[in-house]
Amino acid sequence: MPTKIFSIASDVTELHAAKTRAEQSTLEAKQAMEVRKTFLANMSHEVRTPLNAIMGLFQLIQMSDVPDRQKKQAEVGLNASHHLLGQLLNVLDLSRVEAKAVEIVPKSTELRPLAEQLLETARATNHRLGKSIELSLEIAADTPKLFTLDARRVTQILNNLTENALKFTRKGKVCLAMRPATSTEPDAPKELEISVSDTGCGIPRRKSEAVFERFVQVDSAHTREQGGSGLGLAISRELAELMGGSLNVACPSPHACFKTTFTLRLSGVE
Amino acid sequence: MTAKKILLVEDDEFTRFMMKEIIHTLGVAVDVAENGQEGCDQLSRSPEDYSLVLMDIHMPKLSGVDATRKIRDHPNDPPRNVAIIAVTADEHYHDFTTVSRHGMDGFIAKPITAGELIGLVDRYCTAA
Repeated sequence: MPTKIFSIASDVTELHAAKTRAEQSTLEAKQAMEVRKTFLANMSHEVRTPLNAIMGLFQLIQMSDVPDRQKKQAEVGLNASHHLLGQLLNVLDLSRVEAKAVEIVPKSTELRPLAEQLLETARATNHRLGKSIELSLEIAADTPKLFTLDARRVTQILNNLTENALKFTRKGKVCLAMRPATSTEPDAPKELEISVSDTGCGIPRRKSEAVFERFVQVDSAHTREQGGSGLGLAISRELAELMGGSLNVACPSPHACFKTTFTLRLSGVE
Repeated sequence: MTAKKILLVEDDEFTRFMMKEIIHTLGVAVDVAENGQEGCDQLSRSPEDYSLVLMDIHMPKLSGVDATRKIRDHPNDPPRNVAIIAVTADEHYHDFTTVSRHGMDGFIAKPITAGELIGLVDRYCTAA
């Protein structure tokens, strides 16, 4: 009986090399990400530390027994430092979000005190901008009291939204409203819908996505009235999405109103 | 109550100057240490002198967290139970539960507001 021997050989050298290369590049990407995270953390610290001293010293001059004119100079210096700090933190925040270096820490949170705090910050912003816009808070009666959410990040997003609303509204009102999202699908995950609406200048409908692009302001002319880095909404949307939520704008009546809606998917409504 | 001093443990020279200047307006004396190790050494040398330690968190040699642990483990009181307040820009420590867990009595966030610092000094110290 003759014996037949079959032999199949395939050269896997190339495959193996490709696999090694892929592993190597994943590792390098991971390391690059770590380097970026460390750099961002260091930069944040290096920037805040001297600004902290500058701002403290301006406050000290304001409190001192000096002529009003100098107090005013110190006040402007302090406001400018505040502004600079805000811009830098925004740039750093966006880089952090993009580097996925932001950790979302959901904790059981009472909605009402969180909302009151937001309103308090909005009042302070109103005052800082030298405006007297009416502020209101509406929480729908059927909204649960307790949520599992990252209060710090939710606060960051909503402070951004209310500050924007106040900046772009000359007179009238800004309203912060919260309610459970209404869904047509019965099995849809529970969502909380928080909207900030204002009676400001509004935006053309075709610009409603552009506002989420980095460094974009709807009115980008040098003569524009409002300053800002154009990063607030970009960061806010990234953060909202990291939390499994979304952020959108709508202009119910163009050129008359602006409304941002932040929908937060809730992992556990208690 | 006898007048006591504040020990300011902070590695940044600008911040040290600014905080010292604010505290001076209240007539309270301040000593400074440039890192956690210096802070611990100073506290061991003159434990009776201080009613409050303002502790930065991120410092070379010994961090504010490690320095606090060392103080809380000190065989003698004082300085073992001296009031320690974290002064930091690190948001992780802007939480009462977190700082308590590290043995600290409270925190002030950087950028500090003069009002907050003054309120704190008022609570722990009497002017000389």
